[in-house]
Amino acid sequence: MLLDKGPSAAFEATEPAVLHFNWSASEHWIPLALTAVAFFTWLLATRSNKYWAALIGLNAATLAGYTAWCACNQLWLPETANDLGAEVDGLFNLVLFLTSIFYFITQAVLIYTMVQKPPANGRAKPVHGNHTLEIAWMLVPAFFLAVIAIAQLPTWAKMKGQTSDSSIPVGYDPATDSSDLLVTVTGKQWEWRMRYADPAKAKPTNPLLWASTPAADDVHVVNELHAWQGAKVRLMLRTTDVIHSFFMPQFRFKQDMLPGKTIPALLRTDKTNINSDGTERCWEIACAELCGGNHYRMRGKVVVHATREDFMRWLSETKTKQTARKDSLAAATKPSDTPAGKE
Amino acid sequence: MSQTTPLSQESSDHAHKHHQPGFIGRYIFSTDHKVIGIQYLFSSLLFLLVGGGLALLVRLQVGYPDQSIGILTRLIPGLASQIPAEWGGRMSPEFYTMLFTMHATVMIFLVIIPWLTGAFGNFLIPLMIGARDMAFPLLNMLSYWFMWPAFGLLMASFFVDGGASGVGWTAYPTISSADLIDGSYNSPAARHAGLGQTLWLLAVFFSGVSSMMGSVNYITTVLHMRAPGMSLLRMPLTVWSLFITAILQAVALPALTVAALMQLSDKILGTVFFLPPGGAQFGAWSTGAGGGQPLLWQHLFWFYSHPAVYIMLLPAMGMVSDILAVFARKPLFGYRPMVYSMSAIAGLGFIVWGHHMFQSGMDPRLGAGFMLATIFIALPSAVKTFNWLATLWAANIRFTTAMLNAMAFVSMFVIGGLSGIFMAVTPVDVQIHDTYFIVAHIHYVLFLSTLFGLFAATQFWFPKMFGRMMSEPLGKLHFALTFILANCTFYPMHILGIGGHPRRYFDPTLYEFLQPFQSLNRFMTISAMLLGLAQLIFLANFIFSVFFGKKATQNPWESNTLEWQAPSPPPHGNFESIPVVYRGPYEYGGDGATDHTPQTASA
Repeated sequence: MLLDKGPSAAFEATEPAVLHFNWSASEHWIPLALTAVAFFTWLLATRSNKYWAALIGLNAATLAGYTAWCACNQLWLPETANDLGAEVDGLFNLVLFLTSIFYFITQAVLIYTMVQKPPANGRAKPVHGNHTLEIAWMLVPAFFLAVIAIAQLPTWAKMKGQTSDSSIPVGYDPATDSSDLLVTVTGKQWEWRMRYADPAKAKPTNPLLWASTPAADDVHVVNELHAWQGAKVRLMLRTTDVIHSFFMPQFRFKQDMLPGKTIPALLRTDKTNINSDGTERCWEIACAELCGGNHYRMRGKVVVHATREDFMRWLSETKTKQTARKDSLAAATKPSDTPAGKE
Repeated sequence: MSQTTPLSQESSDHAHKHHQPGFIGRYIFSTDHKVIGIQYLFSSLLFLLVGGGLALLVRLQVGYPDQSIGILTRLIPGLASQIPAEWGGRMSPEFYTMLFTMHATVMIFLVIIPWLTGAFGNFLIPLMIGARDMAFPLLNMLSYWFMWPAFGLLMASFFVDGGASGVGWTAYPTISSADLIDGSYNSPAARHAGLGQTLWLLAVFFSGVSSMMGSVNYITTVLHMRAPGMSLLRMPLTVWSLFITAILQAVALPALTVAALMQLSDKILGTVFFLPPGGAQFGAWSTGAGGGQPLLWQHLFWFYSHPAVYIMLLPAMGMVSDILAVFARKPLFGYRPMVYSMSAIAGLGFIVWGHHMFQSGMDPRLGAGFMLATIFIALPSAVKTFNWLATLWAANIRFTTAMLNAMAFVSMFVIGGLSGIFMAVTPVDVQIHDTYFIVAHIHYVLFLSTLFGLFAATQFWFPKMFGRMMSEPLGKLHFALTFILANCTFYPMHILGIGGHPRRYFDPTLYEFLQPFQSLNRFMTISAMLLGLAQLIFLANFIFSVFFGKKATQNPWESNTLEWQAPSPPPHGNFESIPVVYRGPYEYGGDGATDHTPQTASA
C-alpha cells in the first residue's frame, strides 16, 4: 500500500554533545545563586526567626512576580487560532484572577503569623474554633467555585459538543452534520494520517461510515492538516494501534483517539496562519498521550489557508500528485506474470 | 509478642510477659508495630533514593537531550542495551519512558504510601490511641514483607528482555495490554511493554495486597483498641487522617488490584478485557478481534488512583495539623470542621475520578458531571487551609525544623490546591491536560506538600522512634535549601504547561513552539540536581542522629498526645499501664500552671 511505510526511523546515530555548562547562561547560575540565598537565610535565621518569614514570603512573592513576567514575555498560552480559543483563555484568566486573590490572602496571613508579636506572658488564648467564621469561609469560596463551575459550561459544550451553538454538549448525528470539511485523522505509531474525500465528489453522506471505510479515491496526507479560514471542520479521530492524543496548542484542541472508536470532533479555523507575504506561521500538532518510545516524534503541522479556493487548489494538487505516484508505483511493481485481466 | 491475635488488652499483656523473641524475631520478622513502622521508614528512605535518582535521569534527558550518560553503563553493565554504545552513550527513547514510569511507580507505591501509612500509620496509631499494638500484628508483618517483592520485581524488570515497563505508571491499554506474541515475552505494541510490563503488573499487585492488609489492620485497631476515654472525637487528627486513609484504601484498592490482574490476563492468557472489538494493528502484526474496551481500564485505574492522591495527602494533612498545634502552643482551630472536611475529601474523592479522563473520549456530558464534583472538592481543602491559618493566628510560635516544614506545607499546599482548579475547568483542561502543568500540580501536592509534611513528621516523631533528637541546625539547613530548590524545580513546570509543553517527551527541542521553553527546562534540571544533593543533608542528619543524636526526653516538644506519655523509645507493649484519656488532644495555651494539658490529665 502506498502509505504503509511503517514507523518513522527510530533514532539518528549522530555524535552526542558533551555536557558543557555555559555558566554565563542565566538558567545555570540562577539556581546556584538561589542556593546561596537559601544558605545565607539559614545563617541569618540563627539570629532572628523573621528571616524564615522572609524566606517563605519572598518565595511566594517571587512566584507571583515570575508568573506575571512570563505572561508579559510570551512564555504563556500560545497564539489562539479560533474564537473558542479566546473563550478558553478568558476562562483561564478568570480562574487565574480568582485563585490569585485566594493565593495572596492565604500567603499574606501565613507570613503575618510568622512575624506577629507573641502573646503576652507567652500564653496564647486557647481558642478552639468559631462557628460563624467556619460558615463564612465555607460559603465564600463555595460561591466563587460555583461561579467557576457555571461559567465554563457553555464553552465546554461548544468544544466537545458536536454543534457549535448549543450550551450543553450534543452527541454526534451523521445525518445532521453541517460541517464544511471532513477529515479522518488516524493515529498510528508514530504518525498522523489525514484522509480527505475526493475534491471532485460531494461530501460523503454518512461521515461515520466513511471514516471507517476509506474510498479508493480519497486523498491521503501524512502529518499535515489543511483547512481554510472560517471553515467548520469535522475531524473523525481514529487510531489503529494504541491511544494517541491529537493536540493542537493554537486551537486549544486536544482529544484522545481510542482504539475501536471513531471520535467526531468539531474544529473551527477562524484565523489563517499564512501571512500576507505568503510565509507560514508554524502551528504544530503534537501527541499528548504516551504511545511508545517515539511518542515525542509524532509532530505534525496545521495549515489554515486564507481562502477556500487556496485550500481546494492544494487538495487538487495533492490528489494529482498522489494519482501520478500511484500510477508510477503500479507500473514499476507490475510483475510480468500478472494476468492482464486482473488489473 | 505471641503470634495470635490479641483479643483484648489483657491477653496481650499476658503474652508479652512470657515471650522473649530473639534478634531476628525482634528486628527482622518482628510483629511489634513500632519495629515494623521503623522498617517501613528505612525502606521508604532507600526507595526515595532510587526514585529520586530515576527522576534526575529524566530531568537530565529533558534538559539536555543530546547528553551522553554512557558512564551509567560502566556502573550498571546490565543497562548497556538501553544506552547503546553506538549512540555515543545516549539513552534510547524507550529507556527514557522506563525512567519516568519507574520513577512514578517507585515514588507512589514504595515511597509516599509506605512512608505515610506504613511508617507513621504503624508507629503512631497504637501509640496515639493508647493501645499496646495493632489488632493483627502478624498481618502487619506480612504487609511489610509483601512490599519487597514489588520492589524486587520493579528493579529486576530493568534487566529483562525489552527492559522495564515504559508505558507510564497509568499503563493505559492498548499499549500496555497487548498480549505477548506466542513463545516470546515481547509485546507487539512496544519493545518495552513486554515482560517488563508483566512484572510491573505483578509488582502493583503485591503492593496492592500489602496496602490492603495494612488498611484492614488500621481500621480494626482504631475502632477496637482505643484506650478508655479515647472517644473518636478525642483522637488527634493524625489518627483521624490515617483512619480515613485506611478506609479509602480498603474501598478503592481492590479496583486497581483486580484491574492489574485483568491486564495481566490480557497479556499472558489472551483475554480481551481491554481490547476493542476490532482489535489493534501493530505494523504487520494484528491482535485479532477483541470485545472489550480500553476505556474500562482508565475507569478502574482512576477509581483507585484518584482516591490514591488523597491517600498520599490526607495523612500528611493530619500530621501537619498536629505539628502546627504543638508549635503554635495553641489549640487546633476548628477540630470538628477539620474532621468533617477530611471525611468530605474522602467521600467526594470517590466521585471525581473522571476528571482524569476529560479528553479520553468519555462522553462530554459525563465530563460535566465529574467537573462539578471536582470543583467542589476544593471546598473542604479551602476550609482546612483557613483553619490552619487560624491556628497560627495570635499563636506563640516555636520555629523548630518540624514547624518550618509544616508551615511550608501550608504555603505550598495552597499552590497545589489552586492549580487543581485550573484543571477542573474543563475547557482550560483541554489545553493543559497531559502537559507539564499536570506534572507541576502533582509535584506541588506530592513533593512540596506531602514530602514537606513527611520531613516535618520525621523530625517531630524521631525522638519517639529512636530516643534521640535529630539535629535542628542541619534540619533547618535542609529545609531552607529544599524549599527554595523544590520551587525552582517545579514551579516553572506550570509555565511550560500553560505553553502546551506535553509531558513524557524525550526531546522537546523538535518542536518549534517549545523552543522558548528549553532554557527553562535546563533551569529546572540544574535545580533538580541541587535539590537531589540537598536531600543528602536530610539522610546524613537522619543516620547520624540515630546513633549520635542528643538523647531525647519523654516529651521533648511538650505535646499533649498519648505517644509522649510513653518512654522514648517506647518499650515492647508501649505503656506501663494503659492510659486513661480525659480530654481532647489540643489543650495548649491558656493561663494554667503549664501551657499544655496532656490528654491523660484528669479534671
